[in-house]
Amino acid sequence: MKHERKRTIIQFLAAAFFNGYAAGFAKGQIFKGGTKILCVPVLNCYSCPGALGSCPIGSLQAVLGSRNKRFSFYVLGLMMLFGMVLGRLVCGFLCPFGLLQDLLHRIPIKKVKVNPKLDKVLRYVKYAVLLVLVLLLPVLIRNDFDMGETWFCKYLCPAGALEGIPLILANPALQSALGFLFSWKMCVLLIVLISSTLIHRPFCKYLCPLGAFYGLFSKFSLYQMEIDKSKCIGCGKCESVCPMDVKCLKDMNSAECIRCGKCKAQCPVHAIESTFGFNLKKKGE
Amino acid sequence: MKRKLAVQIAIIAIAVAFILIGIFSGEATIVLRKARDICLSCIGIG
Repeated sequence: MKHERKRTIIQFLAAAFFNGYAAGFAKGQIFKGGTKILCVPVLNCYSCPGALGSCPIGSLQAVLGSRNKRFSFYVLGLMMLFGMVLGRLVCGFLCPFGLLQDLLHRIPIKKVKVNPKLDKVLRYVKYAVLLVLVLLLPVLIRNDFDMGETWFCKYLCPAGALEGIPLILANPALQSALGFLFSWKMCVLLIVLISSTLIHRPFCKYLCPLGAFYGLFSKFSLYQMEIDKSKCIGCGKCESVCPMDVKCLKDMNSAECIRCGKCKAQCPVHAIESTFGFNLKKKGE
Repeated sequence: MKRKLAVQIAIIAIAVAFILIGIFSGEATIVLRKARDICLSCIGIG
């Protein structure tokens, strides 16, 4: 079976696993079970009717914005663990919103190549989103009850907007409460979805705070990509197929790499390998 | 390589310590409580 087909199947299975409460879609209700005490490693809104776990970014803001809280050991600890063990493999293989963007990009229309200089600048936006919307604003801007808002979820997260649609469709009480914010979030969602047909994974490249966080661990995560320089013939096929435009030959474990493995599958001399675990070998061994 | 291994072990140890501190300080309960309610702002309401 071709690598991309295998990856797509894993992505679908992961999306189904993280949203396994099928009854929620029919009833227009969310899951209220104990598994929601755990954060899933992916951007998957806990207000999705099928969600069995909590979104780490939503949970992080929820704890930071809680009364008497300014830091979240629990959620940051889980995110660090996910980042260290899997890193951005989560983005490439497990994230339902990544899957959606991958599928949209397969629509056969003319693709857009973002200007490299603009692309380089835009890549930093996701770190600003993580720092400002996720970490700082919920802590710094508090209401009279000493509580902060979930800024990223409220104003930017397209996953929450999308996953909330089945809930709203099945729930007349929620429909009657729709207003400007819903229109705003639908606009954000539409922009992300339309741009996903033109650019590969624009949300992951430019906006996702979870991808930004996991990217910080790319050099150290237990899952690593390696290139055997003695086998490499420098044909550049790895770089030409990379959906994230990573310069594989220069920086195999770039923070932008989502570990999709396209480079490995395309390499004509099998010079690229993925490894998992504590690599105790010295270089060249 | 030794430095990388030390960093990997240190980060995992800090992550596990953070998780345990968070559980004992009641943060896990906050996560569960929030996730059991519909997050209206997440879906674009209020």
